[in-house]
Amino acid sequence: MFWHVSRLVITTWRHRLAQLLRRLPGLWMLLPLLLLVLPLTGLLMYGFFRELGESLLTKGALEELLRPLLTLSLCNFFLIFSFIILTMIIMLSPDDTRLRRMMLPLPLSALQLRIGLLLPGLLTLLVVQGLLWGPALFALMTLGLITPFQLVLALVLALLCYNLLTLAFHQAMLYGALRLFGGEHQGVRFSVLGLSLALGLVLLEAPFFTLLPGLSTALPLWTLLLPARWMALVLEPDLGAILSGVALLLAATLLAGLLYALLLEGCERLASGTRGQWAPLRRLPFAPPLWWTACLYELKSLCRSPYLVIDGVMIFGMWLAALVGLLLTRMANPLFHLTLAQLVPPLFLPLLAGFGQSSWGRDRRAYRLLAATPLELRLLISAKFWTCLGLTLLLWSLATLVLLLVAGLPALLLFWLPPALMLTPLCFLMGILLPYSPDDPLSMLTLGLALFLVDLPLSILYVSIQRVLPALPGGSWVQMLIEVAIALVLVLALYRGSLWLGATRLEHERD
Amino acid sequence: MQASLLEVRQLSQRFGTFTAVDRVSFTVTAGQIVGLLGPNGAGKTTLLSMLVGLLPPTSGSILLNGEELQRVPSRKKAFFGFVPDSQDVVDHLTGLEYLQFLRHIYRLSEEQWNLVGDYLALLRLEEKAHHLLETYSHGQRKKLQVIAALLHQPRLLLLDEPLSGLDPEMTILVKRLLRRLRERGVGVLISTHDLLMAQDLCDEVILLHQGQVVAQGAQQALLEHYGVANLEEAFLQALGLAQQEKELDRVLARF
Repeated sequence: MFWHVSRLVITTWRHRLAQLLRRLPGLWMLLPLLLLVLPLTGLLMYGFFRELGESLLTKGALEELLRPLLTLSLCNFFLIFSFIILTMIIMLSPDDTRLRRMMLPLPLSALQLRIGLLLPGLLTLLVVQGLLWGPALFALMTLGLITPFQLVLALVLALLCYNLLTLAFHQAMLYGALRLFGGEHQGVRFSVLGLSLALGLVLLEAPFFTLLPGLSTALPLWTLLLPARWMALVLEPDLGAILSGVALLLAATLLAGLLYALLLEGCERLASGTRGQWAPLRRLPFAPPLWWTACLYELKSLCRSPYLVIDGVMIFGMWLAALVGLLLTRMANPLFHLTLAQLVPPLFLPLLAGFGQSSWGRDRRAYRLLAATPLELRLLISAKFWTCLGLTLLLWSLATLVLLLVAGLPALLLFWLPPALMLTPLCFLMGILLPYSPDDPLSMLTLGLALFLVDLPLSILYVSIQRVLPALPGGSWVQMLIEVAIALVLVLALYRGSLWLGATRLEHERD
Repeated sequence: MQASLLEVRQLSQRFGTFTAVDRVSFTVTAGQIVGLLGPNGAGKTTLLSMLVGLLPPTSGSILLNGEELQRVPSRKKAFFGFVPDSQDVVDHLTGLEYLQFLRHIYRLSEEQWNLVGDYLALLRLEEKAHHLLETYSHGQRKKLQVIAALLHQPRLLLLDEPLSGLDPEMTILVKRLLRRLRERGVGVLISTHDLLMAQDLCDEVILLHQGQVVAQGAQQALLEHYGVANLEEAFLQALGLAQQEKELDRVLARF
């Protein structure tokens, strides 16, 4: 019986993949490549680790020094790939809790349902991960660096542990989102998984940046906290290390399994009928004139969109990482520090400008309702446009200014002001042309790609203008004023364009 | 003769080769409840969309209080109140915030705004008022939309399935509310599938089928014309669905 449930899951994967291919036709060309990648990567891993093992790990004293670090890197690589693959599978899979709710009235036992839902993902995962990592560990075995027993033990325990840790991590993020936003936002799941993927990768990689510079002898004790270290211990020649590694992996597996089960239950409770209460600015009253009321309407809408909140958390995380990076590298690595400082303004700009992208689509369901009131929809579009622009500029300026002050380059903010003025209106207009749909997370992907295609020629144009302007008399301040003036003219043009396009779209959208 | 609040003349809506509404004409006067009935796909919602200005008609005219709707400035939309059937709401606002938003759109007086608490209490929404609209059930959204349509005290009400999702207590309340509004000279146009409700409330009925008016007039006159005792029978006869009983027997014969 559980096999029928598994078939349903596989059918859902097929539909999701088909949907993705419809959205991104170019992906058809990549599919055969992706299928070949697995065995090829496995082969490459075998070759690479065989070479590495032969040249570095069988030379006595050098082996003593390098083996722990290289083994740790291999295991971390293993962990990261497991994390990414499982996350992709979760993203493509149907929402577990909704599917379970749907199937509750059917003549299926809880165990049949659970096995049926997990089996396809689990099997795929084990095959993929085994194909990727088995050859690498096999290479180490052929060099006599590990025994066959260690290979099997490490592979099985690590796969189990790391997959459960990944599941527990994602489930914890989903639980947090459900507590905040309630269980009815289907698209939130996709966005939260994106955020937890990014966060997970940062957490897995970050310790290695602090580890590498000072490494000369044995690994420090705190590395025992890293999941990758537990697998690395199992691959050590010392029996004590192997047993420690096994114990740590088993303990983590049990804890992760328990946590995952508890969180899954918690998510099921929240998913059925609970309502999110995330409603900031509740006490901010609407007030005349009507245009200001419409601006406040847009501001509340921005703050309460779960997807924008999740994106905002991600952007904040990146900002924090940039701040820490700038503080740490100020003395330690001036070149990196300078490069990072210069990357900061253009990095945050498109991320924040994306808030304008979703503006039109966010209220698509409300336009019909509001069109039956005395509210002029042109007024609403106008308020949305200026609110998005104002908010984006404010957030970008504050975020960038703090980072540039730390870097000692505050004047760089002015250099990026003209593009900062233009990007949000452009995103706003694109958002009307290719509307975002809250029920279809892939709509943002299409929009993002379209924006990327438009951004490229515009960036080239901007750089070309930058080359011409210094030739004008008056120095850099005059140049700056001219750029800002051009930017303002373009903003007005984009504003008029948005009004016209929005009105045209509303006229043509049928009942 | 009562003032004509809404006058529809030869109204049509075509989408390519498909005619959704075909030369429909009727009037809603002050102190009258008119029922717009028809099966799914009859064109009721399309007709209502044209009446509230969401969809420009392909041909024909709509007069709102004597003025052509297409020439009426937006602010004159305060003349009517509209309760849609769809689940379209402003998800990210609380119920009270949505009403506050409308307060400024309709430029309500202090006196009109002070009634909001009473409306919320009457329709049992006081506890939900501070919750996000996306958390409302279908019935709760309907109730809020009714309040939103009444707050500015319109002369004309356009309602699309006003009782759908409402519990029995609220159904009775809304029906009583509509009767009281009729006594106060408000004109009401209700689009509905609910023939019992239409029979209970409506002075006049319009039967729509495949975009065309198949029957129209005072309720009693219609019943006499078809020689039937209730609207359900009149509906079946008007739409030529007299065979329905036999079809049902045939399908269930092997159940």
